[in-house]
This record gives sequence, C-alpha cells and structure tokens, in this order.
Amino acid sequence: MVPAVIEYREISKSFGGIRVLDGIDLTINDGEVTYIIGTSGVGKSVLVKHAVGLLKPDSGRILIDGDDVTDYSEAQWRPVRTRYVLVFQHSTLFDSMTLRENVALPLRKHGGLSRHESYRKARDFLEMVQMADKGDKMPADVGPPERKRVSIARALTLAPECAILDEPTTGLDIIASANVDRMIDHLARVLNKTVIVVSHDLRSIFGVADRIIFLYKGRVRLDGPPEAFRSSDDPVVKQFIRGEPTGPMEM
Amino acid sequence: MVSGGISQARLLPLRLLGLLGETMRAMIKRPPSLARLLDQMHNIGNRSLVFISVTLGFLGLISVYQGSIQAQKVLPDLSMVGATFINVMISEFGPTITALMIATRVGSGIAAELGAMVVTEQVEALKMTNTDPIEFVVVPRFIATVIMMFVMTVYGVLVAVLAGMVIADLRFQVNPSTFLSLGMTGWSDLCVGLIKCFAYGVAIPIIAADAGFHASGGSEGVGQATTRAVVNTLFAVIILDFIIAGGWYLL
Ligand SMILES: Nc1ncnc2c1ncn2[C@@H]1O[C@H](COP(=O)(O)OP(=O)(O)OP(=O)(O)O)[C@@H](O)[C@H]1O
Ligand SMILES: [Mg+2]
Repeated sequence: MVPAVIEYREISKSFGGIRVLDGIDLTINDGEVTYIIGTSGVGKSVLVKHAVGLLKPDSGRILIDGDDVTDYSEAQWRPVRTRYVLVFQHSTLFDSMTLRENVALPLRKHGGLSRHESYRKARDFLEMVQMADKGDKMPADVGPPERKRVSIARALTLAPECAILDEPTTGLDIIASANVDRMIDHLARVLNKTVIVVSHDLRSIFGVADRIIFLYKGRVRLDGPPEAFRSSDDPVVKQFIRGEPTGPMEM
Repeated sequence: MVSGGISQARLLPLRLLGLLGETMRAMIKRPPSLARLLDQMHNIGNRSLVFISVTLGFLGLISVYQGSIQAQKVLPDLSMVGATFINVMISEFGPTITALMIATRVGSGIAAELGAMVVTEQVEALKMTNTDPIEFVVVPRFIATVIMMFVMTVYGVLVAVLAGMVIADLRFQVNPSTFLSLGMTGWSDLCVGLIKCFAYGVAIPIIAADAGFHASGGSEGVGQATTRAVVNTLFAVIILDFIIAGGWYLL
C-alpha cells in the first residue's frame, strides 16, 4: 500500500458566489505522476493551490502526510512549502531580480544560505535547465519558455518531495515541451519524487502519466490510469479527448 | 451590491490599520538594506521632482501675486506678505500640496507595481519562497515614502518661497530680505507642518499598498487598483489635513 501524500476531503471553494470546487474527494499517492486535466476555468489551478496553502477551502479538509493542514497559519505552512513546491502557471519570476537572484531566493529564505553560497548553488540549478549562461539577465529579457525553465529550477532548489507543476508546457513549442516532459519523467523515475502536473497537453499526458484526474463542473469526473481514460465511454471524457467543439460538455 | 460597497468602505480603515501594524512589525523584525531603501527613495524623488517643482513653483507665484493684490487694497504696505506666505507654506500648503503630488505620482506607482505582482501571482510566489510580501515589497516603499515626504516638502516649500520672492520683488517691489521673514512662523507652525508630513508619509504608501494587494482579474484589475489608490490617498490627505489642523487648533 502506497502512503498517501495529499488528501482532499470534500473540498468546496467558491469565488463571488460561483462554486468552482464542489466536493472534491481525492488522494494523491506518493511517487506517482498524477495529471490533473479539464477545460479552462474548471478550477485546476485553484485545486493545486489548496495543496500549498495559497487558498483555503470554504468547507472540507486537506491532509498532507496524514496531518490536517486545513487551518494552518502562514508560519505552519512554511516547512510544508519546502517539501511541496508549486511552479505557477504563469512564470512568476520576480521582475526586479535577475534570473540568478530569482533561483537563489528560496535557498536564502528557506535554506538560510548566505548570498554568496546561494548564488553558487543557484548556478547548478540554472545549469540543470540549460540557463547557466543567462543568470545575469532580467526575466523580461528572456522568452516565456526560458522563464518557465527558470521557475522550475527555482522550485527544485529546495529538493522537494513533491513538485506541483501548473501547466508547465502550455505556450511552449513541441521541442521545449518534450524537454519539460523529460524533466518530469526524470523527477519521478530517477529522483523518486511525487509529481502533480496540471495540463491540457494530451500528448505528454499519455507519455508520462501514471494516473489521470479529469475535473468537470467542480468534481472529479474520472480518476484512473491513462488506459482507463482513453477507453472511457463517458461522453464528456470522449469529447475532451477528441477535442470536439460540440457535444455533451457544458462550458 | 450596494450594501457590499458600504461594508467594504467600513472595513477599509480596519484593513489599513492591520496592514500598518504588519508593516511596522516586519520593519522592526527585518529592516531593509540601505541599498534597497536608497533605491526606492531615488525612485520617489525621480517620479515627483518635476511635478512638485512645477506645482509648488506656480503655487508660490500665484498666491503671492493674488495675495499681494488683495492686500494692497487694505494694507498700507506689503512688508508682511512674505512672512505670512512663509507661515502658510510651512504649516499648510507645503506639506499638503506636496502630499497630493506624492499621492498621485507615488501612490499610483505603488498600487500599480503591487497590483501587477498580485495578478501575475508573484505575491503568491513570494509566499512559496518563504518571503513575506509585506517585508519584501511594502516595507522599503513605506520607509522611503515617509522619508521622502519630508525631503520633498522642504524642497517644495523652498521652490514656492523662491518663486513668491521673485514675483514679490519684480511686481510689487518687495525687497527679498523683507520677504524672507520667519517673523510670523513659530515653532508650533513648524510642528504642525512636520506632523502633517509624517501622517501623509505613513498614510500614502499604506493606502496605495492596500489597493494594490486587492487588485484582481488581470491588467484591468491593476488599472482599477491604481485609480482606487489615487482616489483614496487624495481623500486621506484632505481628511488628515482637516483632522490635524483641527486638533492643533483645539489644543
Ligand atoms: N483568487 C481568485 N479570485 C477570484 N476568482 C478566482 C480566483 N482564482 C480563481 N478564480 C476563478 O476560479 C475559476 C477557476 O480558475 P482556475 O484558475 O483554477 O482555472 P483553471 O482550471 O486553472 O483554468 P486554466 O486552464 O485557464 O488555467 C475561474 O473562473 C477563475 O476566475
Ligand atoms: Mg490554471
């Protein structure tokens, strides 16, 4: 039996009277690559932000490694956020810092390294994403794929147990996304990390996922391995896979 | 919707006090580096110098010109024009007009910067890297605005007095040495001026930061936050002016 890392129990969340999550029951397992998919605006980003305490549910509980973290304070979340990292959907590099400073920031703030040490270590991580020679550039000076790579590097500096990647390949060309897929595979198979990926990208889903969670109307519509997803006869799932503009799916 | 607006407005002072408290706490716990502070001060000076020069310069010209014309009708000579003008500038118009300029230029800047960080998830990303957004973003801007409020007021008063002196000399043949008189200005006038400077310097960055933090929904939200910051800071300056002047009078 695999120990559970993140458990969502009956999670509901509304914004301005609109119910985005409507009773999500879900357990993310240790060491697996879990893909969370669904149409735009269904609440994928909202769901993963709950796992790192950036959003609090209106009702329901969240457990991490068996601990109930639902009512954690910012201070209590701090250690959790070194083990569970989130790479945001839009590369959220800090505009006022160079790429190197961006990567070094968590090393200084979480890891307590000196500025000098953190810069040295940041270089290694920039190298890992083939950005070592651009450490002095500002985020605005490089393209979106490079910003994405740097934000992944920044998240991995803390050697987390679980990496949550929110749409890591959206907006990247085929080669750049294949690179990200390889990185996800490496994280999971070689480094044995738990990886959660929010994605639209069906090609990479079928390549790397152990498990797929399909969200629809605030609930989990399908939860299973890629084969179950592909062979599903749920008309909504079928429409999503085929990408058909018309069908039973309500937007 | 209407009742929502009213309760929002009622909550605002509480929210602002909360933010002020957190800012003070973060400031004491970890003061920003001198370099970051100087950078922010330079920024504020840069943004408002021309604005303040032009506004306070013309204010000096116009009020001495108009004041002298009116005074000529009732007074035998204009020897007191300079002393009266300097008194009013120090206790009232210097701090207040400077604050109105800083509120529009600097307040809007703070709200826009912070608002952009909020809608691009940079504030959430800061939390993920164990960096308190208040410590990182608000504190340096807060201290810099308080300091620059004094600096720019002194500068603004000097510009206005010089402009007034020139017009008094050229148009009304008031000798500069007669004009430059502190005869009407007591310590208490100076105190009121300084208290106002301090109050405006505290209020402007806090109100602007609050507006920025509550930005939502893309670049449109940043625009709205900026507008809200300008309206609220201008309003606050006028109200504070009234309260401090009234309080001083009652004392
Ligand atoms: N902080 C917030 N405040 C208000 N509404 C929000 C907030 N975050 C998300 N929402 C709303 O919740 C809904 C779900 O948003 P979410 O970002 O989770 O969608 P998503 O599934 O990630 O879509 P996408 O594929 O476009 O990223 C949207 O309607 C969004 O406007
Ligand atoms: Mg999303």
